[in-house]
Amino acid sequence: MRRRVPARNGAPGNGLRAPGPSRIEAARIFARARDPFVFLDRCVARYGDLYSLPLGPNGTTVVNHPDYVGSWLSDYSRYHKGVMSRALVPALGESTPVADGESWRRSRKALNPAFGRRNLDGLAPIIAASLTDSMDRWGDLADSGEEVDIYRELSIMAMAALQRSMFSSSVDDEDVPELVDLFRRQTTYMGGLMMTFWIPSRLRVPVPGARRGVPAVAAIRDRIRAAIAHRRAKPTDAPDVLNLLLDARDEDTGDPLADEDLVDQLMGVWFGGFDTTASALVWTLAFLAQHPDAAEKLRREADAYQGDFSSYAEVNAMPYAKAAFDEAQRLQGALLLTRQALEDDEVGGYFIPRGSQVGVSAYTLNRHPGVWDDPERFDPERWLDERRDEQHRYQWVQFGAGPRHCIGAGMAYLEAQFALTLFARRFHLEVQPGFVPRHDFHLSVGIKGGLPARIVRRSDASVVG
Amino acid sequence: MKRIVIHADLCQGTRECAAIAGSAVTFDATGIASVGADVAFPDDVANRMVAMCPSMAISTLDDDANTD
Repeated sequence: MRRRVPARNGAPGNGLRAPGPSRIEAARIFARARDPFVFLDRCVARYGDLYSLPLGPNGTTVVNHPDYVGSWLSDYSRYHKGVMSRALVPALGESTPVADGESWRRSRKALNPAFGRRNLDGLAPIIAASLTDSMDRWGDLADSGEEVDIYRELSIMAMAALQRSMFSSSVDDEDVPELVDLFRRQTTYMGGLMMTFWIPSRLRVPVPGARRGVPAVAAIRDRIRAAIAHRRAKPTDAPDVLNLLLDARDEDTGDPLADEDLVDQLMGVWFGGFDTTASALVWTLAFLAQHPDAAEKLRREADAYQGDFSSYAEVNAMPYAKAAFDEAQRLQGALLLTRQALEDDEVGGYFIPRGSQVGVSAYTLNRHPGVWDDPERFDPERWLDERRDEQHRYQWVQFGAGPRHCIGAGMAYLEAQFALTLFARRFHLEVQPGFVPRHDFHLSVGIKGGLPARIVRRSDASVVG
Repeated sequence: MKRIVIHADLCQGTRECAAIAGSAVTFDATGIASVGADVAFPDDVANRMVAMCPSMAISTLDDDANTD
C-alpha cells in the first residue's frame, strides 16, 4: 500500500497560462536534449506537473499527473483530437485516428463492429494460427543460431496476424516483409510530421522521413486498392474489416464509402494494428530478456496453460503475460497524447484558451515517482497485486480514454498475450550483454537500433517446433 | 432515471461505462459489459455512459427503438 502524492502546481487562476519555455527557450532545451523524451523529462524537472509548450496554435498545456487528466481527455463534446492529429493526414489520409467531428463519428461507427469482443472472439483462432506459424519460423531462426533483429521479426509477426485477421486472403503472406518496410518508412514520416507541424510553413523546414515516407504512403495505398479490387473480384463472407467497410452505408444517403474513403479507413486500421502492437511487444521481450525472474514466471504460466487459443476468453488464463505487456508499455510510454479545446477551459487552475491543446506524455507520467511505486523498475507484479486496484482512473492512459479510446486495444491484448504465451513455451532470447533499450520515436515508440538477439529454443520445452 | 441497453455485439470491453457507473456494470469472461434489465441510472449518469462509450454500444432504453 502506498500513498499517491497529490499533484503539485501553482494553481494561480486569474486566467494565467501554465508556466513554460518560450519558443526560443524550448528550442534551446530541445537542442541540448537532442531527444524528445529527454526534452519532456527536462520540462517536468524545470516546470513541474503542469507546464505549457509553444506547440500548435495558442500553445499546448502539458499535464503530468492523473489529477489533471480528466474531462479534457474524455469529453469529446468539448475537446477534439485537433491539430496534432491533423498533422498526420498526409501519411494516414482522412482515417479514423485523425478524423474529428461527424467524419470521425461515421468512420468509427463503421469500424466498431470489427473490434467488438464478439468479433474478436471469432478472430482468436485465426490470430493464434498466424502466431503459431510465426513461431515455427522463429524456430528456424533459432536453429540458424544467428543474431536477428527481434523488432523486425515481431513486426513481421504482427503484420501477418493483422493481414490474416483483418484482410483475410486479400493480402499475400509473401508480401508481409515488404509491407513491414513500407510501414516503417510511413511511421518514421509520421513521427517527422508530428515533430514539425508546429513550425511555421513559411520557414520551409523539411519533414524528417518525408523523402522515403511519401513514396511509401503511395505504395501502401496502392496495395490497399489492390486488396479492395481482389475482394470485389473474389467476394468472401469473412467477418473482417475489409468486408465491413465494403458493406458500410451512409446513414443519410445509403451510399457506400467512396473508394478513396475506403483506402483512408483501411490505412488507419492497418497502421494502428501493426506498429503499436509490434513496438509494445519488442519492449516486453527486451525487458523479459533482462529480468530472468519475470521470464520464468511467464514460462510457468505458459507451460501451465491447457487451453487451445480458440476464443477471447483464453486471455483470462494468461494474466502474467498481460501484466508483463502492461509493465513494458508503462516503461515504453508515449510521447504526447493531445486534445484541442473547443471552448475556453481551465485545468489545474490554469487557463486553457479555445483552440489551444492540452496533452499528457505517458512517457513522463508513467515514470512519475509520486504516482508509481519504484517507477523505473520493471515490475509486472504491480498489475497483479493491490497496487492495480489503487490506480487512479487516469494513471494509465496508454490507450486514451472516453469515446476516442483506442479501437484496437482489445485486439492488441489478444495478440500480445497469445504471442507471449506461444513464445515462452518454446523460446527465450539471448541479448547482448549490457544491452539497454532506448526510446525511438516514430509515432509509436520503438527501440533505437531494434533488439538484436539470438532466439534460443528452451531445452526443457514441452512443445517441439 | 433512465434504463440503458448495452449491445453485446458492439462492446469492446474498454470499461469506460464502469468508470462512470461502477459495479452496476458487470463483465463476462470475454469482457463484454452488461447491466440488469431493471437497473436505472440518474439521467446524467446514463447520458454520460452513452456519450463516453467508444464502442457506441450503449443506448438509453427510450432511444432504443431503432437499434438491434
